[in-house]
Amino acid sequence: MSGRPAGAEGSLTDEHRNPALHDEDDRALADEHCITCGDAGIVMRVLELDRDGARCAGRDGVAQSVAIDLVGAVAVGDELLVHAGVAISALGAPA
Amino acid sequence: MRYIDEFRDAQLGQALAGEILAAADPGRHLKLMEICGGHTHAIYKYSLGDLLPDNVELVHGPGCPVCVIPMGRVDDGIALARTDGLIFTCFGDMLRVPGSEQTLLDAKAQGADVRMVYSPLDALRIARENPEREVVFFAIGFETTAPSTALTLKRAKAEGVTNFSCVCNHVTIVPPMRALLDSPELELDGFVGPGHVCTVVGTRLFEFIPAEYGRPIVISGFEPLDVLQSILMLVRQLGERRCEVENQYTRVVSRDGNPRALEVMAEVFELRPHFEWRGLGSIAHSALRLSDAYREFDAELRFDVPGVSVADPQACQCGEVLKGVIKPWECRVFGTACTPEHAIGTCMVSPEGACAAYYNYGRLAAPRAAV
Repeated sequence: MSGRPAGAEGSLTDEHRNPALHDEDDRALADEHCITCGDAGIVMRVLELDRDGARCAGRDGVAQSVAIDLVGAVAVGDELLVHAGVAISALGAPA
Repeated sequence: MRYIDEFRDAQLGQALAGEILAAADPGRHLKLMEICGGHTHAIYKYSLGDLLPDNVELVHGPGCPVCVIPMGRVDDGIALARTDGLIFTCFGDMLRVPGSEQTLLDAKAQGADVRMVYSPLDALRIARENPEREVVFFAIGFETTAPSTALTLKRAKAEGVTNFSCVCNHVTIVPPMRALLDSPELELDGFVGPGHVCTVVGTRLFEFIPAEYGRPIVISGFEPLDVLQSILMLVRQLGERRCEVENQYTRVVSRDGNPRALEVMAEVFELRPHFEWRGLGSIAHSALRLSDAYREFDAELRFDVPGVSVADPQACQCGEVLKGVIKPWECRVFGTACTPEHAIGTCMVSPEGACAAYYNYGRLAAPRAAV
């Protein structure tokens, strides 16, 4: 896994790792919390605003569409807390 | 990335660990519960427990939405997924949660059209793209995910999408916390509070914990330094005999939460009279269903859902793990009959589950040797 912070490697061994972390969800699960259960938020930066909301990228750089209906005015470069494809807060400025 | 990297600084982490050691009364054993599965995951991923003094113990709470889904609801989902022509959508972890006989992944392997989505909005898109087929979204999660389901249903209604519906398994965090606080099994000294839930509901919702139960709570972020700082704040409150709600996660959490999210949730959902929690039993007013205005999108009304209640497997001790009564490795089947590859209990399925977190991050050998 790339991008693991110092100290996190510790006792992690391949045989003890969840096989789910190695499948097609590896990108989502590897660095942030479990996005597939939908109840974990990831920080994403706004790349551009579009008709459906915003194109945003997380720490892995992969862009996805995010609904911004539930947060205030959003600008390119803002960081959003995103749960299950929906921004629920803008970082640095609690809703 | 801003707001992430600076909260993973190892040197600052060591400094915080030193401050916790200095602040903790060596003559007192503190049991602190992290409520949220995201915190459990972070604690094991970064080995934060190793940085704490022996007399500061972390107890893992019930805040992983996959872990608290009862078997009967999974069976209902599988029955729905087998409906001819229906497209069944859910988050990835739900695919591997065992029902009484099989998982949604098994049903998919046998021909059911089960699709993993990252957002309920993706499920709505599938419905738009397949107007001749019924599309069901199996919704799970606490107050963090409920707004995304609510927003999706609001859009479906506005667009007049008639082939989309939802099985609502959304749960609320306060009733199970009250159940835990009322439980004679647990003697907790304080709580690390769920930061992302508070993004939506605000810290105000947790003021009952110090007011009614005399326990401090610190609302925490999910990076390693967030969790360590929150533990320090709790230890200091206890040392100074203070008891209040403190907010460590000020970069996203306010006292009142997100009013837009609360508004859309209030429009789309209403409280269920009762809901069955895995390991915790039936808890009143602890879950959400669709409001009258959105009944047309309720899959439990649209389809013939069995609605059976299934007891948890006898070998499984998820309930005791979820309540923090036992540690994951103390479960009879941990790491032997129950592994991430072949999970018996839900706590081993989700990466946020305490058992999977222990297993994934190499905690298998050491604790078992110590038992």
